[in-house]
Amino acid sequence: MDTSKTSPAGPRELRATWASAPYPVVLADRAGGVIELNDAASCILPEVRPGDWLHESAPNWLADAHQRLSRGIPSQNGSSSAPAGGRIGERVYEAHPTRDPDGDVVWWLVDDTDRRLAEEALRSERERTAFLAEASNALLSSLNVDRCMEVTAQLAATHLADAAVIVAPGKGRRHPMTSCVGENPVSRGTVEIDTSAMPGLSEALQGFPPVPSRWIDPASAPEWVIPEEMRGSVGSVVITPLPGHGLPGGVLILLRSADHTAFTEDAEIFARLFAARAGAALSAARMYAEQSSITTTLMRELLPPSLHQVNGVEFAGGYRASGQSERVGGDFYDVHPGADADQESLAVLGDVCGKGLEAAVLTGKIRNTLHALLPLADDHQRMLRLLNTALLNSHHTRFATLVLASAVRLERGVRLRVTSAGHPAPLVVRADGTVEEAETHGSLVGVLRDIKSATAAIDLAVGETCLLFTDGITEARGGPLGDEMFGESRLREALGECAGMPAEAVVERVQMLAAQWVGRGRHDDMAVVAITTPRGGPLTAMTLGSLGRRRA
Amino acid sequence: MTTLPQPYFKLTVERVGRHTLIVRLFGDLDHESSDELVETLDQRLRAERAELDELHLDFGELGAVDSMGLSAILMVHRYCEAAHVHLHLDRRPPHLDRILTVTGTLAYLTDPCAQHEPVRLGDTSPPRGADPRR
Repeated sequence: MDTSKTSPAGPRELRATWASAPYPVVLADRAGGVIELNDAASCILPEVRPGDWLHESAPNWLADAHQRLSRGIPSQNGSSSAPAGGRIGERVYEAHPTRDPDGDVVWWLVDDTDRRLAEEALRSERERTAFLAEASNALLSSLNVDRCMEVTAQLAATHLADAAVIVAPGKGRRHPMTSCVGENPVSRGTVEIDTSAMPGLSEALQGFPPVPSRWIDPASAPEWVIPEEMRGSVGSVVITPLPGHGLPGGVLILLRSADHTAFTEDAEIFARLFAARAGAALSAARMYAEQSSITTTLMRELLPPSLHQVNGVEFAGGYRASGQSERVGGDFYDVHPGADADQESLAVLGDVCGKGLEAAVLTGKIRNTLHALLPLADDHQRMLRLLNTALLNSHHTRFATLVLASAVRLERGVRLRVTSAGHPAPLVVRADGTVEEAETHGSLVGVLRDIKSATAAIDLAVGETCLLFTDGITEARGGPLGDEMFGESRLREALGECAGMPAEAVVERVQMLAAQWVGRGRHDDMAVVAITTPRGGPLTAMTLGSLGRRRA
Repeated sequence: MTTLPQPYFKLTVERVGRHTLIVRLFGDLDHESSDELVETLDQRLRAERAELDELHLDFGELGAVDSMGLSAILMVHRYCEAAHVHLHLDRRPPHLDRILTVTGTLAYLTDPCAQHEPVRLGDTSPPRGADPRR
């Protein structure tokens, strides 16, 4: 022990100043021998006494800093007198050196623990916020349920646990399951499970009442929960419900391997925050999927039938939905074949005002009502009045316009009765290419208490066609300037070239011209039905056997 | 007409004298704007029905009209009937007359002598239609 350098006068004077200082102070000589330390220092470093060597009794970081300072080696942050820092017991200190001319060093120790804790807490809070923001962005960018489950599993497996398993609400015992281990690719499948086999699972899958997440004993977890890569090494398992909007969103199961620390309460709360976001995204995706499946179902029900030759009359139809594919359009057509060759077949083409669900409902109502009224089809006026009454509604003025065309094959051609109910009158192409407008007019249906209509009788010779169309055709905007209507005169001109053509060809030609006119622009629904007298006799093998209402 | 139709729908409501409301429409009356017309007039008619006798819709600056636009005009007509207010469709452009003619609603909406039994508002059961056997 080398205390020879100790000058009896110096320390004693200093001692008076330090002794009661609130901060720990240690005085050591150039070689690292402790000369003095005050009460506060003795308190936190009880094993250090004057005369000891720093490197023997003081914490290593302090002894090292002292050695570096004495040798004039700059510390890591460049300055030889910059503070050193490290742990003493449970707490963290910063040590600030001051040197006197003969090489002794006074170490002033400042308790830094609280600031470091605060910094640590802030950093982890920032990381979590950033993670939650990232999670929300990733989750909300997709309305696809499978993709949302994948993203949730991936994020949970990389940020919250070693592996994550998501069980979605299923049908009966079959549940879609998505799992992910660490950074591995996500695997998807369906499991047939008994939800009561795992504690907490069935409650969480029911979604109500809300259940907190819970720890379960890894040994009691059923085999399907544990991904293959994790078999035998699972240390802890947490089940967290994914809350949905009024419907259960599923369950998030987090797994940690045995060599990883178990879940803390803090981590579990964080997992719940994450689950809330994932659940919201998943239920939004599910609701969207449900809605689009409703639209698909409605669309399927409302799809136009494929038409064909009935009792010696040729029918052809074409429908082009407006560009906005997710919306059910307002145009429709149907052909109800007559029971036999002497009976009229009824073709209906119409346009319901508006779009979307309400228009779809009205369209369905009109088609069903007309179908039920078929026995009365010999009187169009009466049929329309009954339809109008069925549709009248005091809450709105949604209306429909339509054309009824009853057609029967006679020896020399087709006899037509055509009635417009507020709809553009059908056009008739004669064999010589002249185009006439059917002389029929009437009121729209669904709004007025009294409706009027006039029926036109038309005879179609072989090769002549009557075209029913919706205003989507005539009002299609496009052309060279992009904003001009296709218009009735262009339609007439196009039809003039269709004399003698089969019904199918007429429909294709009209649709093609309208589509070319519109180009890439937006357009409304376009529907056309052509009724033509085909070549050949009224009763050929082809024309027989078409009973019942044909649907696509 | 020398003025171009307005690109955006706009409507102004002006009270003229004690008993008359003049509504001027600018721009396209279609699926985007029809609700505005119906809601605005529903409110005004509810608030001022006691004093009103005449409602003029001025279509002088009207752009395009689609089926939802016609539906809105029919709804306004219904509100007017319920409030015993006489509806006038003023300065109709040819394309509006055409759509009213094709749909068979021109006489219904413009005939000053027409006496319609109104479809009562808020009536949940569908009103009795015309006798179909007639």
